[in-house]
Amino acid sequence: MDCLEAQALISAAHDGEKVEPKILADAVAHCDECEDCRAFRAGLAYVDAAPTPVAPPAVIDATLAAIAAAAAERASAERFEAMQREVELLVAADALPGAAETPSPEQPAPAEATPRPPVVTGRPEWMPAAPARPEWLTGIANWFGTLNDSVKWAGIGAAGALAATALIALIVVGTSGGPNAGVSTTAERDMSSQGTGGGLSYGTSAGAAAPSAAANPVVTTAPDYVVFESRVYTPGALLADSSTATPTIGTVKTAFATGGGVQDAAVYGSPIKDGSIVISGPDGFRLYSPVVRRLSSKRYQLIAGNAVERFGTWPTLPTRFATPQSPDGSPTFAAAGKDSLGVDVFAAAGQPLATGLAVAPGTSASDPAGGNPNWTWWEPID
Amino acid sequence: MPRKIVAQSDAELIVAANRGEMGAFETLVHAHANAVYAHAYRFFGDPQAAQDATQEVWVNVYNSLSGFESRSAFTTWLFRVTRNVCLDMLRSGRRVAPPVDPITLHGIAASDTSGDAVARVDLETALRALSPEDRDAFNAVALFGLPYAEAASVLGVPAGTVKSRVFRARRALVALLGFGAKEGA
Repeated sequence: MDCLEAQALISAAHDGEKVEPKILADAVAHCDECEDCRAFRAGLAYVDAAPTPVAPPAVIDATLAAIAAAAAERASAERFEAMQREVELLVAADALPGAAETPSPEQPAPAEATPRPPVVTGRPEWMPAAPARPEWLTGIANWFGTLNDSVKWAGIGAAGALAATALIALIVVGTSGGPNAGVSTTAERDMSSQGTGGGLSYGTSAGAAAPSAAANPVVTTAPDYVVFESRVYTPGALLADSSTATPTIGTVKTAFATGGGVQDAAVYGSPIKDGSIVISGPDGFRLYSPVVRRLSSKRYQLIAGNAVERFGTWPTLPTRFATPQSPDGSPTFAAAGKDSLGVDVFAAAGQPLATGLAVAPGTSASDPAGGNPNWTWWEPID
Repeated sequence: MPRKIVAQSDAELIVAANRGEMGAFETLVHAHANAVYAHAYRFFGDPQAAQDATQEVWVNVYNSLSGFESRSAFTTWLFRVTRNVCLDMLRSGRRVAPPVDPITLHGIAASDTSGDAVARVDLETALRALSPEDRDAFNAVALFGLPYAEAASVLGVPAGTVKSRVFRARRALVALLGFGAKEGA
């Protein structure tokens, strides 16, 4: 056996490839007696043991932030597709002959023997322009024109009902905690704020220029939150467990997604050192990730001032903070810049951001506080 | 009762992530971010480029995860995405990968150094002196833990070629690091 052959065999065996034991033993024996091959083995061990480049924590944070942005973009695209479906339904109704024939004030409609069903008169202003009408739709419209009036009105009524059903379905999906939970629908944008105390309420100043609070804040059902030692977490992966090590570090009160009673669930340290915890729940051991936002590469975790014992409950400001009376945060908070998502953040009056930061309600659906009608408080996690 | 928590396999995490559990996806990132970063760092020789590539790889993985059919290991797919992202960044001119002349590296004697930091600098510099083909094969095996056959499927060459490239890379590294083996002997 020559040096090249011996070293190639040792290299392959090192990578877990199958090498016949007898041949490998010959290769090892050769290397024991050959200076060059001994050097190769020593070098192989050195290369194998040498540390490889490690992604700095800032790279991990930036990567996770980029993924969060991608997730927000995806949610936005899904919302847009849902809106397009609404538009298509309404355009279909709008395309039907007579749908837009609303009587003008100067020319009242003639009295009719039977009341007309509700008529969809066209798209609302907030909707984007309708896409080009497909030929098949024009064909249906032409065919529809050949029908008599009573049949037409029955058809228009059915189309209106279909559009209304679709809108209701979209609202239900957006608020039921399903796959689109946390994603606001256009209908939700018109909803008034809701939730527990501390919600958006500025009285007459609501229309004033606010750093980040929108005039019509997006309000949705809260995600599946649990609170441990006032810090807010959201469920992640289900974990396998074995029977040793990792003591409990406390309990959380939660009803999980069972809809049943609130229970004390055991909390464990996480195998992942990112501030996450592990909670023993009805489906086993699950990782719970901290709800965080980032500012200058530092992570800040959402703090709850209330007992979030049921999924769907929005965290409120800690009770030591009075709810701001103005969108500029005063008198409790003062504007302090923007975070990594470009959201305005506020410092507690007289305190540095290092102690924590506040965010006004009305952030976009992709924001970690998106949908929360309350001011939120975030404290450093690292 | 005290318990030891063990993370799920990649396949289980992917299933959970596809259900919308962001925590599962973050676990995948934490588990494999170093391999992605290290490959990009070795490809470009620049930490900023490695950071950009790492982000782009994981965003691509996130956007494509629902289409991952588990016909191969997740790490095989991840290596494919990582390699393609680095090549795309290079082709588009967004990043460059300055070549390292192996001749300038002879004389680096790893045995004369001590400490991980010194060893890392030497090994990383030596790695960048390898041909791209040899370095890719070496990274696939050493960083992503792929068997030769899996690496071969990504690199589009026979498994025997991967074996040869990894071996050639090792011999070159050993020589460049001053362990005495003669390249091409």
